[in-house]
Amino acid sequence: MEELAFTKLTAPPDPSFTCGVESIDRMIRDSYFLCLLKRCYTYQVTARGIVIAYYRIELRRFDNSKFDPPLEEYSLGLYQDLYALHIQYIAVRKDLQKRHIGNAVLEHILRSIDQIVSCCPLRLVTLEAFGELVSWYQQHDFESLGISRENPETEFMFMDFLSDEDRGKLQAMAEG
Amino acid sequence: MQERYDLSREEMEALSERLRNPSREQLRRREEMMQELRKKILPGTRPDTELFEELDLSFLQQPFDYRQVQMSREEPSLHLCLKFNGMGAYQSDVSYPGQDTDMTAA
Repeated sequence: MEELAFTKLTAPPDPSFTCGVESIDRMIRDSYFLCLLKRCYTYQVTARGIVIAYYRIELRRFDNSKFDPPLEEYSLGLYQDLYALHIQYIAVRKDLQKRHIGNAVLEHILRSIDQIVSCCPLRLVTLEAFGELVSWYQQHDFESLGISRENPETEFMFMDFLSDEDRGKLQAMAEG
Repeated sequence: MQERYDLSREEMEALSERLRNPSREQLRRREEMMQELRKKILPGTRPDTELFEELDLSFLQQPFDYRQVQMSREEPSLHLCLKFNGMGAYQSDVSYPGQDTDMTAA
């Protein structure tokens, strides 16, 4: 049994922290400034007073106006302006990986998103997963849309927070 | 200001199609997973903490905490005594137990 603390960054992150991926370490170092601007929120995860992980969430917009010719209206449906809550990274301290910390952090994130979705009109959660982590995210019910165009070493994944009950109601309205 | 995705046309069409016709099985699986996660939650000692049964990080060394330092009740080996010398300055008298010295440092 372990107690983890999840706190939004209120000071620059631990400069000695590394998850072993330089591009993510760089994002962590830049995250405090972006938190202050409310471009994203980065959370620090601590156990026994030691920083063991960071994760970052932000809102992202699907730019559906850029396509030429435009996307057919039927394929967009009611999602002309589509937003998602994007998990930018979950970074566990390199020397503490493979100890189920990532599982605990992801569970905490999903519980937090579950609460957000209950009071904000948000349906999609997205992330870009490195190849070796795709199956791990799939175990947590994320679906893959294939290789990410922005980061080809990752796969674009999403989770749909629509409830089955609401899906049934929508279907009944469409049929009626 | 939000970041924007750079999805290809095919990806965007595929995503829109999944949103228009979500998989019933997928939605149910996701709801079951969330129910499990809600059941598993164990509040910690503070509002921003949670307990995780499957984690054991007892090997982690706690950083040094001055609040946990125990003050010794033994006789100190050095006595410092501050005195106001009447001229706007403090004097400290330094003496060692068992010694009858008259060292004074301003």
